[in-house]
Amino acid sequence: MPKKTTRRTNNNSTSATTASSTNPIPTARPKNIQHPQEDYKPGFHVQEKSVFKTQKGLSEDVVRQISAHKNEPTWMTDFRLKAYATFLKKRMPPWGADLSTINFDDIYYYLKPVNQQGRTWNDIPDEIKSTFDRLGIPQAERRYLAGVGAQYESEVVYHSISKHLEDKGVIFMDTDQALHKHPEIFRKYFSTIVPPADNKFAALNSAVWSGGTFLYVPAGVHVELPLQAYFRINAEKMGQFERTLIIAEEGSSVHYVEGCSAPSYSSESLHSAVVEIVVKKGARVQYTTIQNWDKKVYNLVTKRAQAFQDATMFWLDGNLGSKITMKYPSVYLMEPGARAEILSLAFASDGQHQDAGGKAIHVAPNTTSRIISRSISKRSGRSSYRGTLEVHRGATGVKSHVVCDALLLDKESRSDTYPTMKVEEASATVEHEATVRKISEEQLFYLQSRGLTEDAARGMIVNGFVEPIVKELPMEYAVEMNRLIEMEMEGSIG
Amino acid sequence: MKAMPLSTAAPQAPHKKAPTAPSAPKIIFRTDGRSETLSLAAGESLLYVFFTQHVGGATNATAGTPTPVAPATAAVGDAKDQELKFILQGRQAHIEVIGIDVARTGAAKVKLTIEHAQGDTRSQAQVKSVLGGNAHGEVHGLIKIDKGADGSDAYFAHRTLLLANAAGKEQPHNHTVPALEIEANEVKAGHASTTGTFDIMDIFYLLTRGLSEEQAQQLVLEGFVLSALEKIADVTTREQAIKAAETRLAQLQEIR
Repeated sequence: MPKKTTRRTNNNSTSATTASSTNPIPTARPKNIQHPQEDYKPGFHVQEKSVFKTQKGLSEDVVRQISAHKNEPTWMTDFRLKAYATFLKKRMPPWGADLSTINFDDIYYYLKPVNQQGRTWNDIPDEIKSTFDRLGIPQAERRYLAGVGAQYESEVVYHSISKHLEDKGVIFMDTDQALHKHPEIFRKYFSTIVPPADNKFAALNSAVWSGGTFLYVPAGVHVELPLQAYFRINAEKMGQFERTLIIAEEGSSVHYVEGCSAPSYSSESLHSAVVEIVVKKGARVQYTTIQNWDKKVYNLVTKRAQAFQDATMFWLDGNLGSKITMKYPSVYLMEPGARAEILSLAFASDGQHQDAGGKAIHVAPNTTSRIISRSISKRSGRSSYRGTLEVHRGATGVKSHVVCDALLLDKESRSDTYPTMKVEEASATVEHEATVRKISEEQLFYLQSRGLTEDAARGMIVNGFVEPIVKELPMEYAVEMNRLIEMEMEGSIG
Repeated sequence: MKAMPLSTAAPQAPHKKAPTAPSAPKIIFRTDGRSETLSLAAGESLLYVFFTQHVGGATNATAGTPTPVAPATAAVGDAKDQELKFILQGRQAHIEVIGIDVARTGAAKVKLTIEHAQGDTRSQAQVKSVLGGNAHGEVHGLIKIDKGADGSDAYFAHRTLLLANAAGKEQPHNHTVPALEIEANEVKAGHASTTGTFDIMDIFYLLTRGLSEEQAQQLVLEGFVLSALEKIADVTTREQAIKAAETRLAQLQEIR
């Protein structure tokens, strides 16, 4: 253990001075837990290039242009126009984060970066390839992924899936392609889980959606390795509106991972996705998000799944980036035995507002749900947990457990917890608990008495705090997550 | 609503040193479902006990004749919000809130807010609901800790026991919304909410001791409600509260 250099005042002052001259008393204050935004590596950008771009702002004409450019069937054009009308009618949410600063007219709604999607990384232009290289996507693909999609601005520029999964009938492509290649599956499920009228941003996405992932897993197929999609905004004042649809047929299982980042600009961008998932009888879907948008991005996403008999839906939602995030992954438990798990991790720093949480709607008997939320706020960051738990009449024997813990690292930060529980069935067991605290002095003292520096002790406590969520990540991502949060303390001094 | 100071004493400056010995708690006991806002100055201590008032629904139901099921939304629409707000404005202020909500019909809506405007303050709030028949209960419990109110210690719990109706025609509704808004970090703040029916192991244990199922349920029910009141230190208030609770439980029993 490094020697302490501090001396009590009544000690020989000369020896203290000598000690400090040879071994200067460290003046550096303990390094705090770093938020990924403080050293935002994905903040670089390359020159914007587009083969097609709509004019700034949103109008019926822009919606028509997008649809025409994509050669869509008439029903989709009509769907978009109807959704646009809904968007205009819907009010901004009266609750949650402050969205009054969004300027819908100062955003580009569609930007097509390339003409042709690549099947290998060499097919795509160098500057885009180098972007994904720097983000480590091709490397990750080689090492531990069964398939990768990469969306750049509005379009998916790269998509691949391992041969053996394709042979088993797994469909993994971008959503635009799926509309043309698999219209029968597409139309059966598209917008059935999240209708455009659900909320203003779902309506916006429905009107101008582009890209996203379409994933279909046939009955009984287990996709052993994760499939990943990476979403990158490069252009300034960009709006990205991907649309993801996942269908897991009976007895299948799949793990889908999404990551996202954007360059650091002075102007604001908007990301508003819709994700719809159907988990059929006995199937299991895990959907993992590691959201690391730049601090100028509004991240307003609607994510919802329906779980049928004995199915499991598992959301792992990590929110580190963005200016404002409003996202509440939901599970509708439609048939007996369905199970929902939602793990939510939020880290807000420097004026960020992470308004995240989860919803479980128990429609059927003997369904269970578990929601765990861990949030950290520092340097005027604000983390809010917002959740809904409903047990509908007739859904007997429901069990639900919700735990929210928040850590406040300094006096400028804020933490909120807003859960709502509605129970209409006497046989339900619904539990909720929440705590807000700081890093406890006793824990720090104990760890320091065991020889850890204060920095290392803080790091260990924060690591332990987020562990219930990080441990559910595949190994490679857990490492990534820990690296992102930079929990190892820099400049630790004895 | 204007905050009423708890005592007539002149309000103390926010940073004035608190008295060394906290005064004996004041006690307020309400059964009329009124809304009010109270503020506590430095060193003040308050015990606030309230019983909810359910409105709407059939109140004169007699045993054996099931009352018509009113749509739940209509029932809660009848309920007037009972808004209770407590502001801890001086150091060492302490509040304890105990709420009892026992009903088999009608609706009640309580909005409880405890704001820690100053540090070194403590609050404990507990609401216990027993809802049978088609009763609709709604309890909001917000703990707010203002910026700079370091050393605050706050806890809110809402526990609900739902009574299944034998005929299965009616279901009680429970709506619980605990919330935390924390802007200081040297704090302890938490909340909990549970909703459920009788624990089968509790009942099973009592059955093995020779009680009938009905007796067992009644015993658990009484324990659930009265445990919140039995720790009231003041004898008069405790007895008054227990009596009020027993009357409500007896009404519930009569109808079940």
